[in-house]
Amino acid sequence: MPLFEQVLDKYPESVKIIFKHYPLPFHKQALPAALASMAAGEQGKFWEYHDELFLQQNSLSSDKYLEIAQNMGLDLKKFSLDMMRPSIRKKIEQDISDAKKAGVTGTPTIFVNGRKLKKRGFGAISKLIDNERAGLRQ
Amino acid sequence: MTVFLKIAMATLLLLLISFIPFAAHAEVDWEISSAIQLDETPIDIARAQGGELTYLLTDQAKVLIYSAAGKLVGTIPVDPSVTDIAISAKGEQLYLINSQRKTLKTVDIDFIVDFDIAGSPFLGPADAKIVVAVFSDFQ
Repeated sequence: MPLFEQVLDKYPESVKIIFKHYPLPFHKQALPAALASMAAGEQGKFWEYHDELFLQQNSLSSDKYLEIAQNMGLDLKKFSLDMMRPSIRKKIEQDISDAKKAGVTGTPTIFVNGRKLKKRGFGAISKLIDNERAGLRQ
Repeated sequence: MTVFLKIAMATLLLLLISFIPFAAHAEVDWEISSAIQLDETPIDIARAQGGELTYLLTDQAKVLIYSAAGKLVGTIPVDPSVTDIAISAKGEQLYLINSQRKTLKTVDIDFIVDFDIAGSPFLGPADAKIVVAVFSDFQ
C-alpha cells in the first residue's frame, strides 16, 4: 500500500495530506506537469491525474497531458485554458516559495505540522504524527 | 667590500623593493552589513554554509538563533560550561563543545515552518488537526 494510503488508513480522522508543488528546475516537464495536475484539479480530478502522471512519468509531454485528460473524460477546452490560468501558476509559485523558505532541496520532502520528516518510511511518519497527536491531547 | 657581499646586498635590496608594492596595494573594502544589539555577552558564533541563520553562544548558557534580518528566531538552553559551538552544513545539527569536560554534544534542531495550504489539493478530512505536507514534483 502506498505511504499516504497507509497514513490515511491508520489516522482517518486526524490527518490530512496536502500536496505542495516543488517542480525541480532541472526537470523540464515538472512545471508543465504541475500545471496540468492543477488544471485537472479544477475539474475535481487532481488525485486521479496525479496518480496517472506518476505512472507515466517517463513519457511526459504536452500531448501526454491532453491524452491523460481525455482518457479521464475531462473537458479538454477548460483543461487547456486552466493550464494557462495565472492563478494556477501563482499557486505553484507560492508552493515553490514555501519550499525554498522551508529549506526543501529535493522531492519528495514531507512535513508533519511544519516539522520536517528526516527519515523515510511509514514508521518515521507515524512516529511524528503520534508525537503531534500526543501534543494535541495535552 | 667583496663582490659577493655587494651581490648579496643588492639582492636583499631588490627583495625589499619587490615587497613594497604588495604592502601598498593590500587594500580591503568593508562595510557593516548588519548589527545586532545583544542583552548577553556573546562567546562564540556559528553559521550554516549558505544558511540565513546565525547561532550565538552567550555567557548566559544559551544559544541564540538569529535570522539574516537580525530577528531572534529561537533560543536553545545549553550547559553553562559549553565553550564553543559549531553547526552542520545544513544547520540541522548544533555541536556543543565543552573544553573543560572534554565533551562534544550534538543537538538535532527542528524548525517548525508555517505553510500556506489554502487552495492546495488534499486527502483526508478538511478539518484534520494534523497536516502532512508533501512537496513533490512529477518527473
